[in-house]
Amino acid sequence: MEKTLQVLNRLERDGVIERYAIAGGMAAMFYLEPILTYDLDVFVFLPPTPSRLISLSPIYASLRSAGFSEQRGHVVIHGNRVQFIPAYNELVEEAVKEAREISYGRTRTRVVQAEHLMAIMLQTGRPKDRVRIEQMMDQAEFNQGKLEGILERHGLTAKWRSIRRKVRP
Amino acid sequence: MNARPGVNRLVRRLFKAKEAERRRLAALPFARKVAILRRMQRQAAKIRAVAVRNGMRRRTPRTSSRAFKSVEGIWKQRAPDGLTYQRRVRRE
Repeated sequence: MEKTLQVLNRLERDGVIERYAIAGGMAAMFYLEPILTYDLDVFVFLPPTPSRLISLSPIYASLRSAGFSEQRGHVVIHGNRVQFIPAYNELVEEAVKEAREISYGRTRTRVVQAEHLMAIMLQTGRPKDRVRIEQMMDQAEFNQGKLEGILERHGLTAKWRSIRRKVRP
Repeated sequence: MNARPGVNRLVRRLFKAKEAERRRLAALPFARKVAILRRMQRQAAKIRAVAVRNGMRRRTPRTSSRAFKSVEGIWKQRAPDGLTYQRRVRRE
């Protein structure tokens, strides 16, 4: 895992990506008990291109030249299946900008903050996201005021109230 | 009415213990959790290998369910004609 994170840091240093933050199941696991997940989801800011089209090709090309292979939309980096997801809306952009700096062994990396992760799960709304929100509410340390601010800014307050009623009636 | 007084208390204690264990795991360092995840992935791969050997294909392994390995599990799997084995036997 540490080697994988070093590769991500190298991509950032080389300017292939502008900034990244770990998200998805792996980020949830940072705040929760270990949960079974198979890939490492990474939100990325891509450098602007003249055509203004979003393309992951530079990332894939760079990793291919470093000897890593692609597998069904993922790149296998030192045994970890990494999925690069360009920041697709304002909430995700904010999550990447304000991601938390952590150390993994001797490597520095970034993980999406608990409050942003919960808001993203709420926005995505798949059954497994709802389960994880419930787990986050039980196990993770998060700032209620900060979460409410994020939900308000991104129009998720009503959705949050409805899910809260179901989880903690 | 509970036929065995004390059972509810026991169940409550078990749930509390489980909850405490969850919190303990959640508080572990990230690297330690990733090591546990690797073990979980290996275990899931083994279960999947058993399932595939038995001709039961699933896209994702259900590690949380013992049913996957048990007789009831097979009973609820789908036969090649799309019916569950349970329904198929009933039809036959």
